[in-house]
Amino acid sequence: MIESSRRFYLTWLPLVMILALGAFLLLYHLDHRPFWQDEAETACLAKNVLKYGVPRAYDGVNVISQEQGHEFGHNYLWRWSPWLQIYVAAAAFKIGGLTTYAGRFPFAILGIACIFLVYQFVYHNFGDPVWASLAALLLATSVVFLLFARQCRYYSLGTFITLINLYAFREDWQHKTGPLILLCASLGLLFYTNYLLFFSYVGPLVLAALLLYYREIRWSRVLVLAAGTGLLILPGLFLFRVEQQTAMISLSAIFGHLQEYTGDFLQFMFPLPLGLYMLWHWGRNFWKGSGFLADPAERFILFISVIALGNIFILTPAPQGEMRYLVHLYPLCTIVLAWLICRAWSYHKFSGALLGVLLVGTNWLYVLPMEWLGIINRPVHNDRYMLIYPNIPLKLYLTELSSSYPDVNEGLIKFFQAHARPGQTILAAYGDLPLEFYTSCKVIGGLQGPMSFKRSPDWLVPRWYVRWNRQYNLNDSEKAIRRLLAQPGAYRPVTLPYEDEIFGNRPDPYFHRFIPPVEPLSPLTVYEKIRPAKQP
Amino acid sequence: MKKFALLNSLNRRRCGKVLLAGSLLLVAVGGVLELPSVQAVFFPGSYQASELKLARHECGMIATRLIALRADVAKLQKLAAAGPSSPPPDLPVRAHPGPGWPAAFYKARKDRVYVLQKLNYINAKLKSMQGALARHPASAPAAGADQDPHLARTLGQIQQVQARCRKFAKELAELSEKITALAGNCE
Repeated sequence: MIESSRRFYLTWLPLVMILALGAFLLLYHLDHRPFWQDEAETACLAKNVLKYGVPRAYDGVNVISQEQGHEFGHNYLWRWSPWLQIYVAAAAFKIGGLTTYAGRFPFAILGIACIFLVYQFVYHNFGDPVWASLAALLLATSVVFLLFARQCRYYSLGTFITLINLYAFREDWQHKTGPLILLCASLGLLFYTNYLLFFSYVGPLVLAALLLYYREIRWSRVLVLAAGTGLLILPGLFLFRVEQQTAMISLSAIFGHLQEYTGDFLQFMFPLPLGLYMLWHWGRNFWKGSGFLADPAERFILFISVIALGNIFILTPAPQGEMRYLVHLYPLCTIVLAWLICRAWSYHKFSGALLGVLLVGTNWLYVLPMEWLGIINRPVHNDRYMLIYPNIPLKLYLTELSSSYPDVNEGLIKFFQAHARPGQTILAAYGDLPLEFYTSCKVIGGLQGPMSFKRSPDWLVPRWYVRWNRQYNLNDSEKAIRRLLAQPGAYRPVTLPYEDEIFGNRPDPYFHRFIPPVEPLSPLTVYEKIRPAKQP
Repeated sequence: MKKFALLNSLNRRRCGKVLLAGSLLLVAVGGVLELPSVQAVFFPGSYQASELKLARHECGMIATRLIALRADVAKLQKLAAAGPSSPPPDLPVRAHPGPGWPAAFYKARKDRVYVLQKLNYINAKLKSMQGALARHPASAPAAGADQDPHLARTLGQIQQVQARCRKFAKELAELSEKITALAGNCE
């Protein structure tokens, strides 16, 4: 009896409390800001899935494109990125209606599932409820992870599948069929979530397994796994035209992206001092030959560290260096960080507690050492209430959720819902996809590429931040807006009480603002076509 | 000897603990002092100072990129002057000048956009800082009183950076014109 109540207080109660906290942070005011451009891309495609059964980029009125129409062929079938996230969002819309909350809900639920899986994974494999609780708590309070998991995009889905994959890997897949199938299925699903995640994860996984679990590998099983995964992803390789996109790989980008990803990793995922400690610790033990890998926990920590670092290296030649491609590594980082807190606690209780408080409650250990060394990446479009400055992230996060943030897309959506008639044409320099999702207007422009219109659009939305295409030419929408605004007396400006922010609810910590600035950089202005006065 | 080694190990362990706790405390104290609310009370103006420092740093990056852009334009001019390496007989007048042209032209456009976007941002940021300072109570002193010296100094520094940005913008406009002219002649 005493044993069972002790077991409850040590294992299940902390888990329930952490899950309740995670659920609150992930689900509270999930729709407080509308979809921004990338989320709206997924949402618009999901909306079309409900209509056509497949993700079509054209619904008879509007085109969905951010790559000058390269995402689809003559039949408008979406072939730029995998479909799993689109179908997840479509299922949510089917059940919950075409709302922001419904679109984000399944991804937020997957975020909660990730917190549970982190706990379950550590507890199941290493039997340490404190380590498991700390890892889950670190993930549940990681504001960057929360921001990404609250998006109507693949981020939490990719993270969830990565965790399932690790779970299956730690089971006896060399002998049992169930874990082998799970391993194979999770790899296939990761591909259909985002193939960049798949390619960047699989390479380091294989390398880490060869380095650290070589003796446990059964090659016949590896062949079955490789063949099964290959069969699963083969249709996707053709459907999503992966070979075309590999042409965008740029070896000249490697150094720049390596710098960016390392900066992202150290500023938001794994603090530099702890990274240096790990290197020193393993370097010293390796040099001494102290047999530290005999400890299964330490071996596993090294295994996931190799995966995380390998992931970064493989991502470097990809065309865009974006923090979003690292999100699935968050649980891996929290497992390592929690392990370090436990180690610090067993070495010196005060330091262990302080380290825990710093990691759970603040971003100081991430930001300050890099600032002191002068290697912090702080772009010019910064604000001191962002995660690139020392802050208490959860306080910022809750402040944003509990107050109405003047979101740029919300400003545009509300304005056009109130003032534009259905069927009118809006030419937007950016933010066209949220307008497509939320209004009943025809929306052109954005990053859609060349466009043609017989009569001039009823509304123009120029944006303060000028967008250029991949060839560094001014976007066609930008050119068209400038040309139309140059006509004297054709349009009249309407200034909205919102700031013309670059993106809106983008989760990347370099762009995400929790509190609006006191002095906005630029007001949001739209232009209405001046109609000739009617003759009496 | 054994006792000495044990003592040494104990001392090292104690040193390690002190070092670990000290480093973490340093970060904790540093973090508290850097919190915006704490800075606003104890170190007013430090945020503007760091913003200005960042703007100057960005100006340095712009200057470097402008040097690269000048080199790009010079290379384009050289390629345009050389003309096609082995012109076929039916070559049109506005021909593509050699195999290095697309890459050089792409790089010039990329460098140009980089400078343009950075300049836009810095200008907007400095303008917003000026606006915030203008609204500061100390910027409108009572009749006969002098303006807050710290405020006046910050405004002066902002103007210095703005002057530098204007110089960059002028140079960028000249280089952009050259790129447009070269593109018009050669593409």
